Amino acid sequence: MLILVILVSRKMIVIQVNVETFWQINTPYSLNLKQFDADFFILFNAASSQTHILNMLCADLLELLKDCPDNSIALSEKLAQQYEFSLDADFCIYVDKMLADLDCLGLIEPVIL
Amino acid sequence: MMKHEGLSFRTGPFVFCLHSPIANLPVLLHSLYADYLLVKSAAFADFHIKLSRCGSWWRFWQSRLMLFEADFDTPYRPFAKDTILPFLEWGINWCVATQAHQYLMLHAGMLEKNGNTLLLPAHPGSGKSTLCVALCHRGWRLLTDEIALVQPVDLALVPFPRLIALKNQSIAVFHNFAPDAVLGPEYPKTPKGTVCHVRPPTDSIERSNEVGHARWIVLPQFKSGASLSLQSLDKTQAFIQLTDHSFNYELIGLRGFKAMTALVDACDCYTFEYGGDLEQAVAQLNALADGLI
Repeated sequence: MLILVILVSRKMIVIQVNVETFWQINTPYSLNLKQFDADFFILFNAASSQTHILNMLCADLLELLKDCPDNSIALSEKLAQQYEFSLDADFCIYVDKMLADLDCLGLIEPVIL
Repeated sequence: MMKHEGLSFRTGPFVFCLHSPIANLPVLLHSLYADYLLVKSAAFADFHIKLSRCGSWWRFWQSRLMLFEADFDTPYRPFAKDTILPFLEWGINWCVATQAHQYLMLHAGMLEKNGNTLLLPAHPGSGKSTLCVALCHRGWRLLTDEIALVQPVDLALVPFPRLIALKNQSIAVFHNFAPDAVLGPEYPKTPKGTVCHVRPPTDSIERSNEVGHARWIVLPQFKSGASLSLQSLDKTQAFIQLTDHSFNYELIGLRGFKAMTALVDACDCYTFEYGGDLEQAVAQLNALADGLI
């Protein structure tokens, strides 16, 4: 467990990040993406026969995990850079929450490297 | 004949063999099924269905109840004899919706004009059947009003033209709209209220081996007194709505996903709200088909 201290608007925010947890796509060959409109992706998981609607950020996060397993902090950094967001506590929490949601849906899984 | 060998008829890609000892059933079916192709009884049938009396001589209180059986399955509880045709029709649809997984199946009407097919996916009560029956009596070819069959491999829309069941107020509305249409008896005591069946135009039944090609997806919604409104719908929303109207999208897995996305890709998608004026609704969809919208 790593404790990060971030200064946001002169306030000190302390967040706990589990950097030891690396994530990987659960069943990479069963995921099928389709994009009709600019804002959303449709993801079909052939392993569960479930369909999910993803926003761009979430689709890009899965794309990053397709290359290699990664942890929450590294993923947050890459996404923040890609979208030119500031890497603040809110964003890190958002990415953490997104990873937890994807885990719940069975799309990603923790992996020990 | 119907009692022993059964009466075999083709509807869309399926052959049904109907067995029944009920004496007046052939007379009842004759006017509504006159255009359907009869098949030799000894030939292969996709579905064997049976309408029979419930109970036995010592359970005389059940003698007015009927039972629908399909290949030894009984999807419905016994029903009153005076609702026999609605249950036969629901039973036939039940057979297809639960078995024909070689197709992606949608709860949708399908009609064709100028070689292009319009899909009307909708929940019960949204005015889909009323719209279907109105369009097919104004020059559109009916492929189905209830179960849209999509061949996943090439997206061909396979016709399955069944009797069109109108309910409650829509019966009188349609009767005024097309007084010459062939309507069956009214059944006032069904679980869905009063039901009356309309025979599809002969041309639609005779051409039921000609597949359609999807061009438009229109989600209809009848609202009493509402003004006509045809609004473009973005494709992600159309996809979500379409999966909601499918009988077997999840069941057939990746084939279903690929067919559904290709179907949405191939079509312009709209929502369509209409009030009581069927002529106006038909005119609007004619304008769409004629490229005026």
